[in-house]
Formats: sequence, structure tokens, C-alpha cells
Amino acid sequence: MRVVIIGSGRLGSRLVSVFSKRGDSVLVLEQNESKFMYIEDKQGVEFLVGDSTDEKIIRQALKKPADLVLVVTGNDYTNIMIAQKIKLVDKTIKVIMRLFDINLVTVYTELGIEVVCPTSLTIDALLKMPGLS
Amino acid sequence: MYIIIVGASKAGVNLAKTLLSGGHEVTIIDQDKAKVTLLSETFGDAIMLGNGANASVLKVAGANRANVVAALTGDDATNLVICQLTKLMFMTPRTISRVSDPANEEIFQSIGVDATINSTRILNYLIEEQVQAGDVVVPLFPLKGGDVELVQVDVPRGSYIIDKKIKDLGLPEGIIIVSIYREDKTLIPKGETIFKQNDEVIAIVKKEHIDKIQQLFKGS
Repeated sequence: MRVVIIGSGRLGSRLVSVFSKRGDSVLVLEQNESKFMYIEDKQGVEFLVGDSTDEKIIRQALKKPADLVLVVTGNDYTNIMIAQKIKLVDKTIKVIMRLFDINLVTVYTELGIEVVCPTSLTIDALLKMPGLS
Repeated sequence: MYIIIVGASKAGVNLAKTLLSGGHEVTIIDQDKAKVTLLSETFGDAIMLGNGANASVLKVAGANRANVVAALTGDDATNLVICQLTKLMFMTPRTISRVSDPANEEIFQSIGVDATINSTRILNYLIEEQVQAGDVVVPLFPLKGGDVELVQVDVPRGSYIIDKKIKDLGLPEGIIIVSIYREDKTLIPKGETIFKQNDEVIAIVKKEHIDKIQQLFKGS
């Protein structure tokens, strides 16, 4: 599978390693080149430096057709902008974005973009802990 | 009308003042505490502290009864979220947004923001009714350094400059005509360009020349 990961922070850098270890072909797009150093396993990974809200850069990242795009910069609003721009470039592509703000999750799920929300995952996990359920 | 303005930028503040003096109800939302404290002297309850892209904040601001939400922060992504959020969660009839990067206009249009407008156009759009054609130079933005302003001035009926070429006006060095908005098109003028009645002209003007431009454009 071809996976494009946008944002190489704490989450993105880890995802790069996870997918590339699994044998997937991975491209990581990040504005700040120095963040690539968080990636532990760089072998076979393609790196692209650029502004991920820029449509030209998005097209460049999607030059080889991707099966999955993960939008995981640290900023909800940036992720939303990027995810929707990707959908404008190719509306069939599977895009999943990370959003911290639970209220926004409802809005964008309704709009047909898949969302992972660490906030609600944390709440769920907490509630499943012994003594809290 | 009830208008929520997110972002207490110069544009936001001036817009709020104009709307309030026109008898409209306004709330400005900004997340900069110092700014909000300072502006609350002028705006009282009409300014609130918070992240205007947050649903809870918008709810407190009364987004569900707002006629217009204007997203005027300096960040396009934030403005995009404000517009989508208010449209989908609060059914705001009209959302308008400042778009700093022209390359982002397409995405704003595609998601159904009612007006994709640069900051200049927003002001024009909302204050249209308050401004008497031609007898005011509308200051849009002070440029860095302070003594130069971006202004809008309309060409009223009977104006001296109608049918005159820019190069024949004898404009002083401190006035540059930047664009002319005419019949849904924005023209980039040259010396040969001729002014027409109802042109909406954007100019960069040294403060000392604002009277001069007012005089030139004045109607009959």
C-alpha cells in the first residue's frame, strides 16, 4: 500500500516507522525539515519538504497514486484545510485526519472526511480503566 | 442585523465600529487577552475573549442567531473552520471570510462560504450601505510605518475625474492608483486608463494627500 503522511511531529514520525516497517511504501511531507529527525527508521521512506497547504505541494506528494493519506500536523485547522484540499485534487482518495477538538469531529465526519480524535480516544480509554467504569 | 466578527484586526475593529454606528448588533471575538482588555474600553460587552473557531465560544457569542459571521483572523485555515463550523452547526445564513492567500480562494468557494473576498472586499461588502458614494475616502488599511494608507474611494456622478486618463490627473508622488473595480471586474490601471462613473478605486495614499484625493474624486 502507498501511504502519504502529512506532518512529522510526535504522531506523524511514529506513523512513518509503523507503516514502513509493515512494508508499505511511505512518503512523508513536512514543512520543517528538522522534524524528520524524529523518524527512527528512515530506510525506504520518501521525504518531501514543503508547505502542505499548498496545492502544488499536495499534487507533488500525490504524484504516485496513494491508497491512504494521513493528515496529522499539530494544528486542527491546518489539518482541515489540507484534508479538504486533497479532496479537491482527488476526491476518491482515502483521507484520515487527526483533530483534537471534539466539536469539529462531528462537523467534518458529516462532511465525509474520516477523523481520528485523540481527545475522545483518551476519554474512552480512561473510562475503561479499572475503577473508572 | 446581528454580526459576529472573529478576529479583532484593524479591519475587524473598524468594521465593528461602522456596523455599531449603523445601529447593528455586533460581537467581536478574539483570543488575545491584552487586545480584548484594551478594546473593551471602546466596545464594552460587544467584545469577548475566546477562540472563535471553537463551537462552545461561538455558542456563547450567540452564533445560532447571527445573520452574518465574518471570519477576519489573519490565518486562512482558521477562517475556513470558522465558516464551516458556523454554517453547519449554527446554520448561519451568511458567512464571509478574509482570505490572505489568493491560492486559497478556491477551497473557500468549494465549501460554500458565501463570499470569498480579500479583506478589502469584505469591508466594502458590509459597509456599502453606510458609505455615501464618493463623499468619503474609506481607509482600509494603514500600511507599515504609519503615514501611508490603503484607501477605497468611489467615483460619484459628476466627478471631475470621469473620462479623464490617470496620467492627465497630475497626481502627486504620494498617490498610487492600485486597482479599479468596474462591472464585476478588477482592472489594474495604467496611465492610459480612463475613469468611469461608479468605479470603485483602491489607492495607496500618503496621509497628507488624502484631502487631495477626496477633492479630485468629489461629485457634483
